[in-house]
Amino acid sequence: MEKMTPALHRKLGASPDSMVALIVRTDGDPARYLPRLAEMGFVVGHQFRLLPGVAVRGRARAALSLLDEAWVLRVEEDQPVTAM
Amino acid sequence: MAYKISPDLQLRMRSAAATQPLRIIVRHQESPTFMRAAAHALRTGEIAIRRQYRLVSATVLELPAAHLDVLMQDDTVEYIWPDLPVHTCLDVSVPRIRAPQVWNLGLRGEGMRIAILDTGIDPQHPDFAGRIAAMTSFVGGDGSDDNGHGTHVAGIAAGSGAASNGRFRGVAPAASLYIAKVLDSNGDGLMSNVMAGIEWAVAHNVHVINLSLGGDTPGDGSDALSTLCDQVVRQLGIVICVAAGNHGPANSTIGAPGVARRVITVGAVDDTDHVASFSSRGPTLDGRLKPDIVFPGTGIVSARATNARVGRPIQPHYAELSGTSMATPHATGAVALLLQANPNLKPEDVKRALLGGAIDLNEMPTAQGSGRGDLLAAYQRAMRPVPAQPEEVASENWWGQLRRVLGSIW
Repeated sequence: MEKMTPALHRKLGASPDSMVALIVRTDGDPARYLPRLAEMGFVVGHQFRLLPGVAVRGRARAALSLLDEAWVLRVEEDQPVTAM
Repeated sequence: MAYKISPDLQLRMRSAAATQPLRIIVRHQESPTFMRAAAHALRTGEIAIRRQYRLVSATVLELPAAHLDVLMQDDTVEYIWPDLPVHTCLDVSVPRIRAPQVWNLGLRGEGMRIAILDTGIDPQHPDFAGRIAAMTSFVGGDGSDDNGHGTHVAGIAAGSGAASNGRFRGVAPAASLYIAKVLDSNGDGLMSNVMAGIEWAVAHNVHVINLSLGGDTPGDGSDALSTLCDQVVRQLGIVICVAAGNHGPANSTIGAPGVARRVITVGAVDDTDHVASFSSRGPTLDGRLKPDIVFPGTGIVSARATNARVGRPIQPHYAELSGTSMATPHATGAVALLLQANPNLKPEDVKRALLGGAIDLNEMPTAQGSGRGDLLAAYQRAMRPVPAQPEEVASENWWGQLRRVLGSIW
């Protein structure tokens, strides 16, 4: 599984200083990676145990840097949902 | 000749201008005369034929009020009614899926735990008295409904109908409710809030989760929310019912988490059992058949929150709403009753029973899935010994399913 879709990669690269909301799937317990995420400038929201990962907000530039982290399995946008 | 016209239509005729278009239902003899006259009027542009029924000799017409006199004098015309707007109240939609027959077997959802992840709930609504086991919010506040959508959804799944003397009763009226507010007062939220709500519901050991929500981007099921849903169904044995979405009638309009493989994805039918035009269609972007099933979802009257911002008020405690959001809790309540009837059912058994018992509406599989849900038929299947089956249900390539359906027709 690719870590990030090409479409999201392009979107982040096009405006690296913009703020983005992301879901980052991690290799195991996400609590282990909270210090590193803070160091990269992310604000961490929910942490997920059943599907290990975190919801974060941060700069698009930092989001692209996540691809270099070995413990990051996948990065995707925290997409809006609405009542149907 | 006035005896041919229903009293309420006569009233409308008195107040209508001669040129005002009226929509009427005409019962007529099985005679070519009527159709010849109608065809003539159609050519002249005076009458529009909106629908012709096959089981009864009746036609829906739209015509200027002045033309009703001519129609009355036609010997082949037997009776004329106004074509009035209708509401599919819970006292109509719930019997339509044959829930009362299952209630009569002693199953009303007692001991079953239903999670509703939505805009919250009105905890003061009489229809939920004493049955809200837990409520929380992932978007601020305490889980109280400041939109109205979540209360309406909860009423369809498990409202007792207490404020309507039992008239507007949900499908599993004795089930316990676990309410997570994951959508704000506008009905908007983020996938991560929904994921947090799912983890909360899992921690409360619920039997079924209702998600009358979704994204508007067509998906293939690989996103985090859909993946979590699949994992919860497969590993934890919890059934999840998800709205297909309201982005129809174009194909491939189902977003996450409706595109998740193992959830029960629910589309909507109207009060005549036609798939609603707004109901999102499959297949998923990776070619799987969705939705799985359809349930009533147009003009549904259910519980109204005191602070409701959505829905048309019908009575102080009830409002009307349409959407696949309204269809989904019919499925969720049905799942609760099936699991009460047979606690040994696994999610795939529940899904198989629901889909297998569905009534084929002869619409495209990408619109109706297996058809319109029928709880009594699903119950009968759920109580049979389960033969060995492939693990996944309704996730085959949609071309494969289409070929199978077409094969049965040809």
